[in-house]
Amino acid sequence: MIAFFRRFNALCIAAALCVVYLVGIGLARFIHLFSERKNNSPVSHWKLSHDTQDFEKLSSPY
Amino acid sequence: MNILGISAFYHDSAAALYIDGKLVSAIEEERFSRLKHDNTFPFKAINYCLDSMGLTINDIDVIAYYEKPLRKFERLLETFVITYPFALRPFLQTIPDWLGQKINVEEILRKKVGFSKKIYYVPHHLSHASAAYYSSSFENSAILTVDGVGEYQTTALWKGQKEKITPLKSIDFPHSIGLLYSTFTAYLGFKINEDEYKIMGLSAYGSPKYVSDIYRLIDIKSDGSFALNMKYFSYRESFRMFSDAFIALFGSPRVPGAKVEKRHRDIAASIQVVVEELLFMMLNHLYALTKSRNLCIGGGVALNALANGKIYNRTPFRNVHILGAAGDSGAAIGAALYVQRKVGKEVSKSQITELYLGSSYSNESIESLLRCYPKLTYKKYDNESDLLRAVVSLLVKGKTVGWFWGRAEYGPRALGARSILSRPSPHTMKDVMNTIKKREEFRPFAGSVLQDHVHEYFYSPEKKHYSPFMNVCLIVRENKRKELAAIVHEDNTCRIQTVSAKNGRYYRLIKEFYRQTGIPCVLNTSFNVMGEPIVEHPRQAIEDFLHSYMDYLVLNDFVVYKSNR
Repeated sequence: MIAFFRRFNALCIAAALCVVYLVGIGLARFIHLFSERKNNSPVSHWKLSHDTQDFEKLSSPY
Repeated sequence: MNILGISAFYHDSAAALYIDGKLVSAIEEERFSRLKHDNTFPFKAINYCLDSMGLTINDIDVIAYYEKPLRKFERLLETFVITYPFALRPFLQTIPDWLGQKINVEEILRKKVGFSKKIYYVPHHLSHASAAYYSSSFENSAILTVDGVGEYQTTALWKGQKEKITPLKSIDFPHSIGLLYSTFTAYLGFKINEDEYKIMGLSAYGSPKYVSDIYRLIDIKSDGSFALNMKYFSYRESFRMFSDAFIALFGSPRVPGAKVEKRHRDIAASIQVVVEELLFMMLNHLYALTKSRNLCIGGGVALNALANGKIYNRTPFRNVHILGAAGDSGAAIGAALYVQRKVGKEVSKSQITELYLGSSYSNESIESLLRCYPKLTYKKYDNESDLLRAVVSLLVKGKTVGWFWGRAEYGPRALGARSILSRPSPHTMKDVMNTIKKREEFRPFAGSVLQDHVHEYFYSPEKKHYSPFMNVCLIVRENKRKELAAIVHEDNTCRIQTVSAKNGRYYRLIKEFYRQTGIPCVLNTSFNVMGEPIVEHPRQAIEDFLHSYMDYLVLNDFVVYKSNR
C-alpha cells in the first residue's frame, strides 16, 4: 500500500512538472523568442567582467 | 577565526577547514562514502574536519560555500527555456533533485549541520581563482579559471595583485572547454567528469587527424575566445553530450568497454591538440592583458597535465602555479580563502606547499587492525631509517609496495601518502602495476622525482622545477628513458611530482632509493583499484592488498606481508 502511494505520489509530481514545463517554460520560451538578441562580436567572444565584488552580496545564495 | 569551506552537489564534494588563517584539514566526501567523485553533501568530510581539530560546528565562525546555488538554478531554468520543447526528460529528472536539496544549501547547513552563524556564497569561478592565486607564492599573477561550468561562467580571466583578485573577461555556458573535452570523453565511451584523464593518456597513441573536423565545432577568435556550435552538442537538452550531427561528422561513438581502435586514438589525440591550442591562445591573450610572468590556473581543465607541461614553451609565462586540487574539491579551499580575506584579520598570503590534510591513523590502531587478519604477517620498525632501508630494498628487487603513511592527500593525486610504489624500470613494471590496478594498458604511470634532480631527467623549464602536486607532464631526456622505462609514456612524457623535504617520510624514502640505485625517482600511482576512490582507512588498504597482486604493504611503521607469499 505504501509502495502504491509512493508511486502515485511520484506520478502526481511528474504530471505537475509536465504541466509546469509545457505551460510555464513554454510561455517563457515564447517571451524569450521576442526578446532574443544576438550580440555576437565579429572579433571576440569574451564578455567584459566588471569588478563589482560587493562582499555583502556574498551572503545571498543568488 | 575558524572558517569552513564547502563544495557540493556537482562532483568531488569536499570540506576544508581554516583556523586563524591556516589550512588545517581538508578531505573529499568520496574518501568516506567510497563513491568516486561523490557529489552528495559532504557531511562526513565536515565531521572529519571538525573532529580532527577537536571542534564542533559551534566553533565555526563562518561557512564559505563554493558557488551561488540560486544563480546556478537560474541558469538551469534559462537552459530549459532556450531548449524548449526538447528537454522534458531532463527537466523531470533534474528539477525534483534541485528543489529537494541542491537549492536549499542554507537549510541543510542550518538544520542538518546545525550551523547558526554567517554563510557566504562565493561565485564558483571566483572560488577557483581564489584557490589558484591565494595558494600561490606570487605577489601578482595572471589567473585563468576554466572548467565545465559554474553558475554561468565556464572560462574566466583574472588578475591577482597583492590581496585583490580582479575579474577581466569571461565566457558563459554553453560554451565550455571542459564540456567540449567531456563530450569527446563520452563519445569515446568513457565516463564524463571522471575519465577525462584517460583521453589525455590515450591521445599519445594517436595522430591528430581530426583536428580540422573538431575546428568545425568551434568558432575561435584570435584572442582565444571561442563559441561552440551547439548543433553538434546536446548536453543542454539531454543527458547525452553529443548530437546526431556530431555522430554524422565523427562516426559512431565507441561503446563503453569495446576495443579502443585507431580511430578512437586519433580522435583523442585531436581533441587534446585543439584544447591545447585554445588554452595557449587564451593564455597569450591573458598575458597581453596582465603583463605578469606569473600564472595561476584553476578549475577542472587545469588538471590537463599534458597541456600544463607545454605552457612554458607556448606562452610568455615563466612561473606557473596549479593547486593539486584544481577541480571542485579545491574550490572549497578557494571559497574559504576568499572569505577569510574579507572577514578575517589574516590577510597575508597563504601559500599551500603540501596537501597532506586528510585523515591519519596511529600505529596502535593499525596494529590492532592487523591482528584481525591471520593471513597477514607484519613487522614493526621502531627506527625510520631501518624501515626505509627495508622498503627500498624491496623496491630495488622489483617488488610493488602499497605505501600508506601519515595524513591523506587532498585532491585527485596520490602524493606519497596513499600510493602504490615500484621502481621506475624496467618497462614490465608498468604491466605489473596495470594488473594490480586493473586498468587500461594505454594509461601511463606517474613518477615522483627528487626536486634537485628533475633537470637531469626531464626537459624542465628551470633547474629545480617545482611540480609538487603532480599536474605537469614533462618530456623525459633521451639518455634517461631506459632508467624510467615504466613511466615514460608513448609520447616520451611523464607526469611528475617533484618531491622535497616538505614531503616528509616520502622524500626520505626516495632519497634512500636514490642512495641505493642512483635513480632519484619512483613510480607512484594512487592507492586504489579501478573505479574506487583512493583508500582512506587502513582496512581498505589491507583489503586492496589482499585482493591484488601487490607484494608488500607499508602502514605507517609496519611492513606487512602476505603469509602465503
